[in-house]
Amino acid sequence: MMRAAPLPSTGLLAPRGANRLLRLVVIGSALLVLLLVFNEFRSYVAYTRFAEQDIRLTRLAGRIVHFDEVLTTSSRMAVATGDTAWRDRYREYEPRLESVLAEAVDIAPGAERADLLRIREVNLVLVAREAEALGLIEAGRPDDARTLLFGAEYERLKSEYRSGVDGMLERFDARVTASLASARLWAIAGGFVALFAVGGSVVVLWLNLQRSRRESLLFDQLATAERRSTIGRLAASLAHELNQPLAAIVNYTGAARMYCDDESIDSELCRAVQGASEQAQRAGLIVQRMREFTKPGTVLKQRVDVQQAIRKSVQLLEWRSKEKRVPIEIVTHPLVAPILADEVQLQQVIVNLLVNAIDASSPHQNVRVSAYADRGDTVIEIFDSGVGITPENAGRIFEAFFTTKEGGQGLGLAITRDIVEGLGGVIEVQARDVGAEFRVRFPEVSS
Amino acid sequence: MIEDAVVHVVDDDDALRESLLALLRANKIRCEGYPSAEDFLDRAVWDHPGCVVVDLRMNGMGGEALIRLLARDGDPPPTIVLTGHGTIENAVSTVRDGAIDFLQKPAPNDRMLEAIERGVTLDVERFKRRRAMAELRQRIATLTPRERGILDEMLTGKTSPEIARVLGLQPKSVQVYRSRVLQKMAFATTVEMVRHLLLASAQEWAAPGRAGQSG
Repeated sequence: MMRAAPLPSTGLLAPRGANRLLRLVVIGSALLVLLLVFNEFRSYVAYTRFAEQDIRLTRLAGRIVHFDEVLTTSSRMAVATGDTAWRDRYREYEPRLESVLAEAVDIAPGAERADLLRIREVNLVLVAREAEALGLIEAGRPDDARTLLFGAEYERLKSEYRSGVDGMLERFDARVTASLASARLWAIAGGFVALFAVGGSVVVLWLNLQRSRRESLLFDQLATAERRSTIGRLAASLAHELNQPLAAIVNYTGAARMYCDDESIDSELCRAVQGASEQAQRAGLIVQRMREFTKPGTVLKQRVDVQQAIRKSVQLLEWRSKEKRVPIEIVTHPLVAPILADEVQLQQVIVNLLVNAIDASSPHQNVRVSAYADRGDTVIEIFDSGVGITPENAGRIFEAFFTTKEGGQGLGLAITRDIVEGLGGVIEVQARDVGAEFRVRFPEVSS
Repeated sequence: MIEDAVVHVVDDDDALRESLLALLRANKIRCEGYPSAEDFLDRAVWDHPGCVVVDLRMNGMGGEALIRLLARDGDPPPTIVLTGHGTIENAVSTVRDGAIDFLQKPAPNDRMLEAIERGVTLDVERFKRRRAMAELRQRIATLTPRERGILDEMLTGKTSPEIARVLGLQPKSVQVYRSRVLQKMAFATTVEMVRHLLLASAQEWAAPGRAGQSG
């Protein structure tokens, strides 16, 4: 049997750590940072591709147009003038166009590559025709050669080549424009993501700060209330415990003094008895003054939402509940009327009883707390499946200095009962087959 | 102090009860201690005037409940409350219920003795009333049924011939019975007897239920 009386004050002030909200913030921020990194990577890839390949492709496209012009011009000039210098120039540039086309085909992506392949094919046909024309010149048939290079067929091929190049350039333009637009979009999105990450973190951290400040305020209030009632209770109990023997001493010494009227008794003894009697009465007065001093002051009672007080108390004990692996289950019922009480004191009651229940339980035994309305009264029940209470102890469990807990002071439940009675309620305990059940009943609030 | 008064001390704290008894004995006051209200109700004998000193908070029936129980009988013994848990509400409610004084522990000896003396003095009249009534009741108990019937008729103020007619007896025998009733009831005249009995029955009526207790 290990039950009764949670240690006052210190037992409650569990470390606040392991905050769920904070953990969410950290995880959220990490996710946002990952997003940012991914975005950066995309931008980088887009940039390098644009920088290295697309710039090269632009240059190659320029050359393709330029070299083609050179080839057309030199072949036609060679045919028209029969000057071999034009033919040599043609021979010099022809492989260069071919290699530029080959290089462009290598680096160009999808659609543009198809364009380039077609351009290359047309080019091959053109080159074959031009070579044939040059061959006809050498063979001394300049008229045939001229027909070949200035005819409609050659013009058709040229325009096919040019439209191929135009189409490729258009597609290239469109693609680069699109990729720039998407890069800009991603940059803007990245900015927003970063803004959200930072802003969200700040907001949540601020909320968290507020929350923990509120919580610590609550802790402080509870701890102060706990301390105050512990001191008061201690003094009241001390006064009560001392009062009985003091009253007995006063009576006994009074009796002894009566016998002193008899002459045969030693007068020194009588003076001693007289002194003892006076001191006992003096001690009695001190105790009485102490009792006056420790009388509970009036508390400001307000309407308090019981369910909310339960939720707050459970929240305060989250850490203790996790550490002992004793889950707290809140059972809510509709239509629980508010009671007239001091909120801190009500929480003190609930927290004390919950701490007791948790301490009496083994890991994975649930503690259940519920509030319900019973014939106008409001009842709070705290229920555990722990070590339980023997019937003989159940009668004494609310007495001050009665404890079955190792190192317990036996004040927790005494204080709890004082508070409950001070709030106009009653508290009772029910020993069950397994565990215990504490029931706190508050009378109906007259409106 | 009244010579043969008995003070009844009801307190579940042994040391306190014994010390109070010691104080009373030292002051040559007869006293009796009880560890609980239930024990007091069981054992207390009222063959002397006296008073009750009672603790408020006790295991089982508390002092307040005891005072209320005694007060229900209309003519309760004087009761002094002695408590370690004195509050104004306590004091007011117990005095309203019939306590004659309310003392905080530890009470100074003289305050305690004074309260007890007052209580005992208060109880003398009550005790006399009760004793007279008890005596009357005892004497009535010695009457035979026939004599009891004659007595009842005498109380209604009937003359001997009237009683004879009502009960169907010879007036002469009624005369004999009447003088035997007077003799057993220890009264010189019929008028005196009727006056006492009517007075007593008025008290009895005012204090129902106490009949069995006093002795």
